[in-house]
This record gives sequence, structure tokens and C-alpha cells, in this order.
Amino acid sequence: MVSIRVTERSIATNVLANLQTNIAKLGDTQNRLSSGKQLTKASDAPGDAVLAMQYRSDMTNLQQYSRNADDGISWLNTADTALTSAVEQVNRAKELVLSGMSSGSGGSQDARDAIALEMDNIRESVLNLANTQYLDRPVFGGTTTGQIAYNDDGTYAGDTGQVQRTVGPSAKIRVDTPAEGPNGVFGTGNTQIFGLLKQISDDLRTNPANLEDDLGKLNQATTTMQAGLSSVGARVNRLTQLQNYADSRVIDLTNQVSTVEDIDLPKTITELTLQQTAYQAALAATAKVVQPSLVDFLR
Amino acid sequence: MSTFSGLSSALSALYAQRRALDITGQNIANANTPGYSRQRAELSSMDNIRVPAMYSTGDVGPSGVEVSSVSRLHDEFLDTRSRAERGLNQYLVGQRDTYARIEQVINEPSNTGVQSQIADLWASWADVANRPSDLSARNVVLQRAAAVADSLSTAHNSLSSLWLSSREQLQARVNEVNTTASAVADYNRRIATDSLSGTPTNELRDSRDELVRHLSELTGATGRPRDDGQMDVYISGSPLVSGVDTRQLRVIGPSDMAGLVDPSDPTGNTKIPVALQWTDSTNTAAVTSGSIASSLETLNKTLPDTADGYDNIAAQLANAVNTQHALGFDLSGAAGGQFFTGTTATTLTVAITKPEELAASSVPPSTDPVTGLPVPNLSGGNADTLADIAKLPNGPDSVYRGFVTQTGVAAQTVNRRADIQQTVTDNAEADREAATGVSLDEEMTNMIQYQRAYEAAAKVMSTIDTTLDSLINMKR
Repeated sequence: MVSIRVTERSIATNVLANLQTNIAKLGDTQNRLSSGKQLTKASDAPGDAVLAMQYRSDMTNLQQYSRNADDGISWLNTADTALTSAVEQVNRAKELVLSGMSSGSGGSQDARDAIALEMDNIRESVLNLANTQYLDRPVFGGTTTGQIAYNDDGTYAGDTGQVQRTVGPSAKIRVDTPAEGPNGVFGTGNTQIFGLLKQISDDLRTNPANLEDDLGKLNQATTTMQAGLSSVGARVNRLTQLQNYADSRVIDLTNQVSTVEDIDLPKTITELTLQQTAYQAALAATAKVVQPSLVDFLR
Repeated sequence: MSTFSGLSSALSALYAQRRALDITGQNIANANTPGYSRQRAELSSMDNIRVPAMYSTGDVGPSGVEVSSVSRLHDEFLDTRSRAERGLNQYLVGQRDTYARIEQVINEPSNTGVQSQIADLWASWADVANRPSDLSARNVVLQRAAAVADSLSTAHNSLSSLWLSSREQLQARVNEVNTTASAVADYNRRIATDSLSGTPTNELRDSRDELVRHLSELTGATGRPRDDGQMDVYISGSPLVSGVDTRQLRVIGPSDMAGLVDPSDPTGNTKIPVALQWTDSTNTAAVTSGSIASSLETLNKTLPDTADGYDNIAAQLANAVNTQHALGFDLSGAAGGQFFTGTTATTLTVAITKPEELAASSVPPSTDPVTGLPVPNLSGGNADTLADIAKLPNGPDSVYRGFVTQTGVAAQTVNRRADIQQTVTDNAEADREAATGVSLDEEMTNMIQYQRAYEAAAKVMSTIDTTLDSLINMKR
């Protein structure tokens, strides 16, 4: 007789190993089902694990971009409000200059003095607007550590540093508004708004003939301010777009992390049912197969 | 032929079948004893002693049956295979346990692992870039950097304590090898003596083989049986048990993980590994399989490599942050100092204590024309660049992810190999059990055979008795 010998213990060893495999699978599926995760350690799927980690760190980045954009938008909105008011004030100044001019050199000096007084007020209020702060920093002051962008005499107290917000992998957007210098919203040289308003006030009092020239410069200053204003608006738009993009990417990535890490519920439940059935079948078969031996049939 | 020879031959049959039934009983009793090899009564017919000579011819018939020996049905080949597979299985099980613990230490991917802490650190730099003058934002950077350093250090320390417990485990296993080897030698001695006196040694051999199997699980040792029933045990060709003599092993090498690096080599590349040494010489014992090989691999490679991985991440992090930090200027306009000190996971600490000293600005301070003092600024450019380290292709984040993946792949490979080896070992064990184990069906069949033969022999005896009875009562 040359056949493979089978003994009770060899059957038991095999059956035990198979039952162990079955229940290990069942336990694994139950574990995944109760935790809701199919990826809990890197060895479960090293490729997916690195993706999950990459997604998570990308998410942190994008959430930070969104926060940066929030901050940038507030910063720009502050500048926007200040500039809009400043432009209104300057427009009023133009009207005043015109009325000062229309009264002509023959007009009453008293009236011009009154206009000059209002002009001084306008200069003061534009100066205040130029010193508008966002979170204790003057929005027109560059990167200065000081509290103001312009001194009372109209000289610039800020610096030429740029304030930028990173809102995308390679998107750095300037959120401060250059105030002084060739591109500054408040002009430079003899069209610098504070110097100009002072000049107009002086001219109203002493040299009305120069007012026409002043009006030209004032128009120029208004144009510069409006250009600055539209630049602020454009940048707010860009920030908003990039922030929307970052927010929607965060949602995408959350989905992707979930795809990689979380279980497919119907699939896992089906698997669990199948494995339970397999395990019960194995148990039933074991109970039936291992039990009988020749002992049962003797006598 | 003698008148009563039939009686004695029937008697020998009664004896022999009884003995065979006893053996069957012994087999059934040990049906579930691990390592038991079934036994068989070897029956042989007995001849009358016939010395051929001139007058000794005659009607000399056979004179019954005897149990010539009790053999142990045991397959040395399957035994050897089972030992080898068990050794490899224990090695892989050990490695799987080690990797399972390492993965617990790494704890990735998760929302609380080192990866997310480093990501939080970069995010806090971005907050400083948004508000360079805000001391609370700056403090958050210091706190999060300290948290990253703590996490790296905690992970490294966990690996160190894992190393210590593995070292103790190795010591315990080596002690087990030594005592088991002595026990094997002891069995060898008794088997040799009993064999000489003709006493059956089957049970002794079963117990001895079970111990040798245990030695294989520990060290991957191989057994080589001798003709007289003793067994020699070898570890990678060096004798551990040689007949009744044993050799002992001891553990040499460092007693903590830091001791693995040779202090006399300034480059730190020379290692002093944990190893096993024969106590009777200065030779090291090469153990390539079994749970002890796994312990050695864990102590000399798996754990130190993982710890080196953490050190590498600490070094990369310190280097990346320090280099960029030095390019910036702090709130007082001074150039950025060293942000992290230390280049290993355990020594990494945040060197900066004051939030003002974070070099967030990328613009050098201008000089006040009047006082000549530096005038600082609130640029956040350098903080922004520091936050961007997160995206560097070879930055600390990417190095860390590579480290986690590498460990994950190694763990996955070991898990798969362990699963396969478990099946192979189970099969080898089932094969061995099938060849040497007790089959109850077979024993039952034998039992019926012996019972019937016993009954028949008794019948023969009573028939002869009746025959003799007829003969004796013939004269009436």
C-alpha cells in the first residue's frame, strides 16, 4: 500500500491552520470595518501610505494658503476703503480749488481763506487715511516697524519693503500698497498729495494765480490714486480666486485621503459576510469530518 | 515433533498478540502526544532450533511466533525538513513582530504622526510671515518646533527601549539554548546506556527529538543521528551537542543601542555588533535561522537602521531650517541665529528661546542716518521661505515620507514571507505528523487483527486440548 498516510493529528494540524487563516481574515475584516480604515500602517500598502501622507501635508499647505489669502484680502480691503475715502476727499479738494479759482483773483480773500481752512482739514483727513492700520501695522507703510506711514509734515515714515502673501505653490501676491515713490498711490515730488494740498492751501491764501497749475497736479494725483485703487481691486480678485482654488483643492484632497485610507463599506460588509459564511462552513465541516473514526463503528 | 509442541506455539501466539495489543494501547494513549512516533510490534515466526546432523532429522515444525522488536516508525528526512522549516518560520515570525512594533512607533499615516507635526511647523512659519510683529505667532513656531523635536526624540527612545527588551529576550533565548542542549546530551547518555542493555529507547528518542526541534526553532540547528541512537546537534556546522558533550553559548557585544557604534572610530562607521560566542573559545557562533537569528538581526540591523532613519530626518530638518534661518533678520534687525541645535533625533532641540529672535525678515535692516543704528523691518519674506521648505523636493518632509515608505515596504515583505513560511511549516509539520503520528483507524484495525489472532490462538489451544483429551481418554 503506497498511499499518503493520514493521521488524526495531521488532519488536526491542517484543519487548525485553515481555521486560523479563516478567523484571522475575519478578524482583519472586522477590524477594518470597526475602525473604518483600510490603511492604518504603512505596510498595509506602502504606495498608498505615501500618497496619504503627501495628501495630508498638501492639505495643511492649502489650508495655510487659504488663511494667508484671508489675511491678504483683509489687508487689501483696509487699503481699498482708505483709498476710496481718500479719493472722495481729493475730489472734494478739486471742487474747492475750482470754487477758489472761479471767485478769481478779484474774488474775496475771506472766501478763499475759508476754502483754505477746509483744504487744511482735507489734508489732515487724507493723512489720517494714509496712516490707516491693519493689525497695528500701517497698510501704506511697507515693512516699517513704526505705527505710521506719514509724518504730520507729509514726509514718508515707512519703507519700501514689500508685504507678500503666499497663496499658491508659486503664487506670492503683494498685499501692501506702495505709497511713496514713482509708483506710490500718494504720488511723489511736487505731485505728492500732502505737499500738494499744503501748496494749494498756501496758494489759496497768498497766490490764487497758481491755483490752475495746482488743479492740474491735483488731477494727476487723483489719477495715480485711482490707478492704485484699481490695482488693489485686481489683487483682491486674484486672492479670492486663488483662495477658492485652495479651498476646493482641500475638499478634493479630503476625498482622496478618504479614498486611499477609508474602507469601501458595501464591499467590506460583503467580504465580512462571505468570510463569516466560510468560517462557519469550515467549523461545521471540521466538526463533521474530524469526529468519526473507526471507533464509532466497532462493536 | 513433540506431542505438546502445538500448545507452546499457541502460547507464544497468545503472548505475542497480547504484546502487540499493548503496543496498540500505547499508540492510542499517545495519539495526541506532541512528537510521539508510533510504534509497531515486529512479529516474526519462531523456528525450532535445528542443527543439521546425522540423527537430528525428523519432523521438526515451526514453533510459534515472537515479538522480535518494537520499532519506532519515524522518518528522519521529514524530521530534518520540519526542523529547517520551523527554524526559518521562527526567524520570520520574530522579524514580523519587530516590524509590527516599529510601525507602532512610527504611527503613520495619521493625524498625530511626525509628518503632520512637521506640516504644522511649516504652517506656523507662514503665520509668522503674515504677522511678523505678532509675538504669539512667533511663540507658536517655537512650540511646534519643540513638539517636532520631542516627537523625534520620543520615537528614538522607544526604539532604544525596544532594543533593550530585545537584548534581554536574546539573553533568555541563549540561556534556553544552553539548558536545552544539556538536556539533549542527557537524553543521549540515557539512550546510549539503554541501547547497550537492550532496553527500548523509543520514548526517550521522541522526547530528545522534540528538544532538538526546539533548538532548531531557536537557532536553526541541524541534527545528525548516530548509529547508536544518539544525536549530534550543529549550529552552522559547529557542534552544539556532540554525543554526551555540550558546548555553551554566550552573548557578547554592547548592552545598549548607542554602544553599537565603535567609539574608537571617529567616523562612526565601524560597528560593534551583538553576537554569540562559544564559551570554550573566542569564536563567534554564526546563527542564520531561528528566533535567535531574528533577535540578532533586530539588534544589529532593523532597530539601529530605523533609529538612524530618525537621526537622518533630525539632521535634515536642522540643516534645512538653520540654513534658511541664518539668511534672515530678526525683530531687532540682527541676522538669524541657529534655530535648532543637535543633529540627531535625541539631541535635536530648539536653540532659540525668545520669540523676537526668529528671523522672519528677508530684508536687511537699513541704517538710521541720524543715530547710525540699524532700523529693523517687518518683512515676512524669510518666514515665508521657511514655510516653503515643506515643498522642497529633497526636504525633510520628503525624506521622512521616504523613510516611512521604506520601513513599510520592508514590513510588508517580511509579513508576506512570514505568511508563506507559516503555510510551508504547517505543511511540513502535517507531513511529519502523517508519517510518524498515530492513526486511530489504523490502530483500531490492528486491534481487531490482534484480537482475532488472540482468539484464534486460544481456539487452537482449546482444540489441541480437546484433541489431547480424546487421545488420553482413548483407553476407556
